[in-house]
Amino acid sequence: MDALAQNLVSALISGAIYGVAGLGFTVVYNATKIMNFAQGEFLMMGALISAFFVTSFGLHIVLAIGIATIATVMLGVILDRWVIQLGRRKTPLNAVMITLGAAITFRGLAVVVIGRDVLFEPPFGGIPTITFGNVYLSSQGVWILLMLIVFSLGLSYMFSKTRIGMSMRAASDNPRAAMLCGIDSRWTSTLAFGIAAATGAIAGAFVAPISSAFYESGLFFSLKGFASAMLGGLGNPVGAIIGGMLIGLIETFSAGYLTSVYKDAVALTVLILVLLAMPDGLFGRAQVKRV
Amino acid sequence: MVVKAELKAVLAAAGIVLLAFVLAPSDFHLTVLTIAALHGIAAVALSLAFGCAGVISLGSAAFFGIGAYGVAFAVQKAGIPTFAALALATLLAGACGYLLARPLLRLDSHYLAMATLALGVVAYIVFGQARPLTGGFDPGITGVPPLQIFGFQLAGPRKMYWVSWTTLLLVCVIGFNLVHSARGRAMRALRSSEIATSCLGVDTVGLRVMVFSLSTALTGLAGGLYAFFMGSFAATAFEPGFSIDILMMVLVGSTSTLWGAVVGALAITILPNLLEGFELYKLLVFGLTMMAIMVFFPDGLVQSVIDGVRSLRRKPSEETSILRRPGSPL
Repeated sequence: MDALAQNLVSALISGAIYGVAGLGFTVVYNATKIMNFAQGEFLMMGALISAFFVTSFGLHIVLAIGIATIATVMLGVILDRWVIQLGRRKTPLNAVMITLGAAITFRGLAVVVIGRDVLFEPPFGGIPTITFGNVYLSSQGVWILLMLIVFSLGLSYMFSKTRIGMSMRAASDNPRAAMLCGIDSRWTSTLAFGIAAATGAIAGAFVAPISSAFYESGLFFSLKGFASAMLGGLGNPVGAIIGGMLIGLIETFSAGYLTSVYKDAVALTVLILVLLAMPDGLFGRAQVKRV
Repeated sequence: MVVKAELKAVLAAAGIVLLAFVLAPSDFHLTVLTIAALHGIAAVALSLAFGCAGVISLGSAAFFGIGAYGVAFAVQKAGIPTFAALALATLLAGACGYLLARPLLRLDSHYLAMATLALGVVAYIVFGQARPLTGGFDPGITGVPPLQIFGFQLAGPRKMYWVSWTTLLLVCVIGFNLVHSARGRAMRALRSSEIATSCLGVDTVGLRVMVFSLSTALTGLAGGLYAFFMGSFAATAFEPGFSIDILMMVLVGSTSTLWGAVVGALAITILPNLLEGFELYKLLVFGLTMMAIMVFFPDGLVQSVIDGVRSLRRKPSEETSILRRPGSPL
């Protein structure tokens, strides 16, 4: 019973990370209809840069996360403003390929600037480890859950109540009509990339003390974030978080009760199965052509 | 029905292949050229799917691996003759591609990109961890016998050089035939406007599925030849980064002609062997190149240079054939 509860807790924590990655996907997809293959690299950059500044320069963790977030947001904004929007042939496939190139570039940057070492960030501390009987919720886990709550409340407030959020939704629904209403759809697209990069970098920095920071981890964050977004129904922010939780559950329980070497393969097989069998996800709108 | 100009080009390429064989200073160079040809088959296969039908696969390594392991099982476990094993492995890879593409191509084609990327990672994990079947990362598969056709043993880099390059040229001929057939024209139309094409009564989804399955089958063929050529291999050969390498071959060469893929395969396979310390910068260089190509030269790097030179040399009054316009998928 305790083992089950403990597994549930760790599923909740890894699910929160996948949910935030899926949220970043959703924000960019909603604003631009682009699938951002570099989303996981935002998490990787956040983790690696903050861990680098903490371990090599002994910087305070808050400062290190700040630097990591600013650097990642700059990369995200550059990617949209000065790469994707410059594209000569603006087809969705080209944009997808550009984000794939960006993902590889970010990985390469990490290798050249920071190196191929696995970095370990110390836990943040400040919050005591919570225990219910024999079940532990580590203090870093609490930080991650708090981050998820802040992000989801903040983003849902922004999209439903603020002028900026509503103009982003309008620009994605119908860019031309939005433009006629005075909304600059290029600006909303850059903003979406900025938000995705910021949430990604912070999520990466928060998960680094648990899972270590490594230049290749972005691919898994990308694929699992995408799996979360698809499982919840692409374009639905709440769905992305619930999808992330489900992916976390499936992954943790397959590792706990079957075998741990196939942990990542199980999560990605779920992605493939969702794509094959129910591409609308749990809460999505139908978009499949029947043939 | 290969167009005359392309038949000439195939013959010229065969001549270059012969010349390279004569001039190659050592077996090491022939080995690199053989590997380049095997990569070239996979790249031409991807170019068919991507260039002609706008369907992208980021999991070439998985299908390459399915071909290689398929050959190894068929020969070592089932005792099937080597040539039949190669055919079986090709069919197996094609069948896997069909099963994935048939449901997925109902969606936008970038869902297939994501699914193939995921498949590549899943396949890599399975290749590495299913040790009883694949031998994992170490020792992997060992002792695949050389390919035998009609009693001829094709062992060693000298003979495999010919096998691989002949196969590559044959694949190119098949590709050209496809591009010039009614289906090929439908595919080109499909790339410009899917709605218009389906209004003309073309089964657009069926066409995409057909091209994608053909492409994965050919990638499996390259993998099967790789298994015969290497004799022993481990799961590391099929890491997800290999799929990106193959994609780079297509992008560096041309996203629209098959020759571009061959040029790209030669460049991407040979250059890292020449440049020392390239390994550290490989990801950065590949990533920046991929972005630059997709932003500035969406037809592919070599293709854009050729088109540029051509448009400089052409007199403005000269009428160009619609097939030779830059951006036309021929």
